[in-house]
Amino acid sequence: MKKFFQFFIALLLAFLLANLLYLFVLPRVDWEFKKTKEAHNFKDKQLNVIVFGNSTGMDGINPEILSEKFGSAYNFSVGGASLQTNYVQLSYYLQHNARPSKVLLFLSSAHTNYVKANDVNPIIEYYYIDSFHIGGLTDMPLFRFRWTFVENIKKLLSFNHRSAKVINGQLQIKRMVTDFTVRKNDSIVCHDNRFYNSTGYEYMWQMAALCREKGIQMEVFEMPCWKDVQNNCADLEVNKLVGNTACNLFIHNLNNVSKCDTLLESKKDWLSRDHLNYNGSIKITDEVVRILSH
Amino acid sequence: MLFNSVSFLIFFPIVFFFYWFVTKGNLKWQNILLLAASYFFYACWDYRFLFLLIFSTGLDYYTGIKMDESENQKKRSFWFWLSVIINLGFLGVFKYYNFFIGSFVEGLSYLGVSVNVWTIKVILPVGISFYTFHGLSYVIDIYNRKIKAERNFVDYSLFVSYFPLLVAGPIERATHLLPQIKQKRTFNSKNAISGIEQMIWGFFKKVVIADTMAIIVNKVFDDAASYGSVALIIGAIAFSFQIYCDFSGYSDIAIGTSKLLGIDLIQNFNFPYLSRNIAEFWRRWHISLSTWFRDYLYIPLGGSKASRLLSIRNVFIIFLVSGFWHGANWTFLIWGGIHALLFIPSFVLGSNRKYKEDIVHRNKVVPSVLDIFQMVITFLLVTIAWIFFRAATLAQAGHYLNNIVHNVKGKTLALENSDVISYSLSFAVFFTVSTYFLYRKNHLLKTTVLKQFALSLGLLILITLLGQFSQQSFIYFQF
Repeated sequence: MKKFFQFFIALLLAFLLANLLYLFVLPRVDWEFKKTKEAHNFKDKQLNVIVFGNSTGMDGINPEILSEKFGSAYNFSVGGASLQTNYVQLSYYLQHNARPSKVLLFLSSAHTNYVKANDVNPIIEYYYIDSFHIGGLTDMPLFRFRWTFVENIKKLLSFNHRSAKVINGQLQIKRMVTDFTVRKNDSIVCHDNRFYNSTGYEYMWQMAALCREKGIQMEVFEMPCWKDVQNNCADLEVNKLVGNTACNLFIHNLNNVSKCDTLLESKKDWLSRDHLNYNGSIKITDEVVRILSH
Repeated sequence: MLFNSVSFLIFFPIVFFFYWFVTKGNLKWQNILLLAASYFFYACWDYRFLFLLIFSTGLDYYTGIKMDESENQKKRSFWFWLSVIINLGFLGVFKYYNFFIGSFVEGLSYLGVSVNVWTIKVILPVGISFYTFHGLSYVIDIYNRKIKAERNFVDYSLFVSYFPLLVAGPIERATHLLPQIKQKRTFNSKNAISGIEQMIWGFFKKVVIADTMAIIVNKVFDDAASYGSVALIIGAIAFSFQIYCDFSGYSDIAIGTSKLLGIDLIQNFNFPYLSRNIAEFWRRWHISLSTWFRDYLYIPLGGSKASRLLSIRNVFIIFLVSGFWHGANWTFLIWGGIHALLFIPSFVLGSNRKYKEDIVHRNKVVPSVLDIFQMVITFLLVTIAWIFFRAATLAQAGHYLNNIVHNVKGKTLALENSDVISYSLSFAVFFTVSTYFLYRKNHLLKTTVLKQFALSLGLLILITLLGQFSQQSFIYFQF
């Protein structure tokens, strides 16, 4: 029995060690870890424009272009980020740094991430909230950051992923994937004020309230997607009373069919279904600059 | 309680601790503990069916003793048939009643007769097909005077209800399991380490391969009409791997768990997709069920010793019954029928016993081109039959096959890059480790503790990184 227990305990210890090793390696190789660590370390930073969103924003919004027009900019977006994640990042940034003039929030075109109000990206949770939160088996680093494993494997397999860079928070990937999808005009429902007042958007309004309190201009954009999920919806002004603060937001629709047709090319600008590559990010950020300049 | 659940991670170490440390090797207390744990394990699904399990156990225990005590053949036959009829009666009511009534009503409706028949909506007690077959093999063996009736009720109950195999097998025989239950057990570290390794391998197959394949399979089978040929073919192949990894994964966890308790269970799978014909496939797939049907149905019917025509009839009977055992649906019957049709040619030509050894037995590390060709053909035939097994109705299976041929331009699976990488990596590990086990089984590679440690650790890490943790039930629980 002694031999068995030696085997079993050694196995558990080695598994624990593998978890610690994973946590040691990730901040050194993973883009999102590196970037989050960098952003978390900002102290007394003076940025004029700060960008939030999920992976669609991280790949698709180029802070260098924003900087040329509006002064220094940084893209805080992280993969799989919920609105609560963005709220945590924004409030932390505002506590430790100077007030920016603009906060730009980029919503995923599919709206799929926003059905739940409470859900923080584990990397943000790790750096911003509780590094060694141990609430159960799912808090093991190998489990908690499991999606980063496949993301990093991509670097081993693809030159485009290996040569990708994170610059001012944007993940710049030059890989091109053609959009072969066909437009479906009848299936897309345009959202209204009530939709954006649902619980899934609770933290978007918390961000809006925070910006209003600090006198920061906040603008929201819906990111573009492949043809089959582009829409004919107009830009929308929405409002909500957050506590005692009446908040107004303008949601600029970058997923509008005519905008996408004018701006984006099926063959050159896409990385995947709802992610722009470096080419696409330049075009869409130019459009964002144009919108904000008017 | 599922093997792939947190509750089992808590339940099993407690049982293990009490079993080896509190009972201090006292066989009687060990068996009482295992029986109590087994009943608790079963009650976690639905405590009401525990009474059915205990009743079925009591019936076979009692009729077994009565048969044993009686020298009069008529009395023996009476007790034997009483047990068989009641056991099959339960199975019939819980599993097949609605099917027969439904088919009867449907048949009449074709003749223009509309009938309103009362049907009962019952939940199928989990594992009923498995524990009924345990009990039946026991009474048949006593009736045939192969074994003596067990007098110790706890020991017999444990044979029927032993938790690692209670809900999805392997279907054990009294001749193999009962002597182990009655024998003093000593802890064997080598076996226990091998048990841990087998459990982890089973978990890998279940949560990394089967549950991941389930995502593709469910997507394709639920909307087969809109998917194109390529997606449908991938869906069917994915189901072949899903069902194999789900069921053999369960068997591995069961066998591994049991090794930790010092009890060896019979092997249930032996690399079935390396089979070179259907006959070989059935010697490697769900071995405990196919040998059960061979010993308790095929051979009593005359087996292959009867005339050619009767032998063919016997083959059809066991395949159809095997299909029907899986579920009360025409799809399972057709699945069994397809296997019978695929089996018959080799049976008639006498080549059904041609491949009795693993390919590596012939001192070949890599199979020949002919071997590979035969394996691929057998796998594809088995995969076509699985479409009937997976489909909800015969019509759905028919449409699925029809769309494979005709719907070339249908929807594609549109998998994300991350999914493709994750699936490729999972399968690469699955094939590598399977090959390693094949070579190890055939003594081409040595087993060392260090290798077992490295393999277990590697698999544990990959389970954590790539597994699906939605706690999907095992497919064979429904049978």
